[in-house]
Amino acid sequence: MVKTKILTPLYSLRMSESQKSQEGEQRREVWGIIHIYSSYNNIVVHATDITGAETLAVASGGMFVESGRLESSPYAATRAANYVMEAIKQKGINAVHIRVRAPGGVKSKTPGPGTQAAIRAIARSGVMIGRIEDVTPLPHDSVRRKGGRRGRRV
Amino acid sequence: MSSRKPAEKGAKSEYTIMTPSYFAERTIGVTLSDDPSKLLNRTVKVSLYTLTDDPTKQYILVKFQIVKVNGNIAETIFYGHEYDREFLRSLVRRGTSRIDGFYNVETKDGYKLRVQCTVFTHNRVRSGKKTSIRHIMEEVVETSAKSLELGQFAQEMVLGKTASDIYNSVKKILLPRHVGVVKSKVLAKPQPQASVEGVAAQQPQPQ
Repeated sequence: MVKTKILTPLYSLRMSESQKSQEGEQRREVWGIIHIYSSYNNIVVHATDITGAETLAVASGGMFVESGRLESSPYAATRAANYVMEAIKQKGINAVHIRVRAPGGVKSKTPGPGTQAAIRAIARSGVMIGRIEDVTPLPHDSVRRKGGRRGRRV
Repeated sequence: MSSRKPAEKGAKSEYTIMTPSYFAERTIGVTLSDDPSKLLNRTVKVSLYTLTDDPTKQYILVKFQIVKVNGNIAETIFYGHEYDREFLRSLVRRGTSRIDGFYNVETKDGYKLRVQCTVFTHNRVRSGKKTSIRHIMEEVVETSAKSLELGQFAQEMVLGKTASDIYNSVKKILLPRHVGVVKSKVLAKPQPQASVEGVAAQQPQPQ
């Protein structure tokens, strides 16, 4: 319900902009899905069609920075998202749903630091955004955390 | 493998995904494939808002599975639905009860489904009442599943007929805050029907 209220003005705004560029012609919406897998070690931005079975473009934080600890940074996330958005715009996608996930399971259930930056980059690319959804796999119980009985020995 | 790849890559064509007749035969979108048989068993999740143009129904997500390809049109069946995760979380409150019931049912035309119904109450409820509410939910879901085909049953679950039936029966015990069929999924499709449907027959049956 709340989401509707926030999204409705956005929709109308974007539509009017796009219609202006197309000279009043009604534009056909071609939807895709951006899957964002965001951990504390890296971020993967993955664009697919609406079934999720066909990959359109994929990029990870590690493709844009040299050092390992920067892979999950907002900068790397922005670069990865920009790369993916450019690629899918060329393929004719002009509207996307976003599905964000953290590692989940027994690991971190909150998305990493790059998520916000990636979503912002997607929003700035001029593509219409539909739903933003959290799809982190949350166990009802849990499996055993890795590391063994005595824990991780460092 | 590597020598074959470039030839496959160029030849992908677009297929339009249509909802089944009991969900108004709308166009949901397009998917790409080089071979129509690869489309089978793909699923699409859409909000009920896009199917009914009713913005209050945005929290219900409906899943469709592609079962048949006709030229450039991919035909689907209802494959399950669920509440939006955030909406469901907003219903759960302290000091109130949430009564879940999970039921495996079979429709008239042989589809096996798992249905989750949930009743939210205003106050904390004793376990005796909870049990009787679960019995009511089971009865409502099973009787409607037995008498209906997949399409009608899906419509009743998604559009709220089942929920209001449960509401009206539960009302006699206590007044619920929210009643809903929170989640459903198709566990198995009927065997004989699948073998009749040309392309679907080549696909191995799930389970």
